[in-house]
Amino acid sequence: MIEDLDLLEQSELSLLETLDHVLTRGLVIAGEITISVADVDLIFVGLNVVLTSVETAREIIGARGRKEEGE
Amino acid sequence: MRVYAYCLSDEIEEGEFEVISGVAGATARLIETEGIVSVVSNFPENSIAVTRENVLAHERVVRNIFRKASLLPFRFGTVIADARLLDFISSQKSTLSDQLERVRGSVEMSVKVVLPDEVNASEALQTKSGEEEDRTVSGTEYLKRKRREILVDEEIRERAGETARWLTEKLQGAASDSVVTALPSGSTVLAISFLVRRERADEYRKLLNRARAERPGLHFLTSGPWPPYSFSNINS
Repeated sequence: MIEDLDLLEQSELSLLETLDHVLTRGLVIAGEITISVADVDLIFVGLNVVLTSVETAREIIGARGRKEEGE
Repeated sequence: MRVYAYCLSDEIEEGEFEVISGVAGATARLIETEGIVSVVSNFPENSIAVTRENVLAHERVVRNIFRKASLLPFRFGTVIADARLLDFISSQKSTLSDQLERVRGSVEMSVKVVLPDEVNASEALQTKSGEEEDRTVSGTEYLKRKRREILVDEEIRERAGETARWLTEKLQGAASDSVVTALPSGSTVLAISFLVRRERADEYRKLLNRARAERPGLHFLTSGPWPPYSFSNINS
């Protein structure tokens, strides 16, 4: 699936690309993303793409938390 | 009942649906309303852990359906009461149908372009030698450095924008749509996804290879075909 390998191992790239698509894109129903960031697999940490993904997740959780506080 | 939601489709037939296991080992099943089918599995917990196993289970279910049907994938972590999911579909029916029409018969092809970071490197060097010369930084010097940082950031952003326009133009013969999913801020990676009809995937690859040859200084990371993750946002 991955066609360019000049930066990382293929398996790492493949996992990162999957994370980037599955965690940061896709249809969102407002307030219904409920992931637990505390349980983020350590293998995911340390790479830019993944950090971006986790940041996006945190923003959503933050927005949800604020929404619940306001209710 | 709380469920984990994988994707929506208007092309899945109950009879053709293969039994497949999803997150937490629960079997994926279908719920339908107004001609739109949701693929879900039972999920009693309140939140889902971001583990390799769970992320891959999500992608496995979506990809399995995607082999036979056009769909809109949900983002990882959609845990929802089934009644609320059905309400969402009813209330967004026309938008969702439009989105399904837009991605019908198409796949997502993704490109990440790593921009050369010589600007970053020279900037880092300047800052470092500056710090060695005088340990106490004056207010003016601090402002100068901040200003330099902003200029470098602007330059990277400009270059990324130009690269995005160039690549989009090169691929427009094969792609029906495109979206820039990441412009650099602090890093030098530009991400673009293209919506490509399945039968035009080869043409897309040919055009992409031609474009890559034009700019040998850029690093490309290409992936796909993907379910249309970047073309499923109903707000876009």
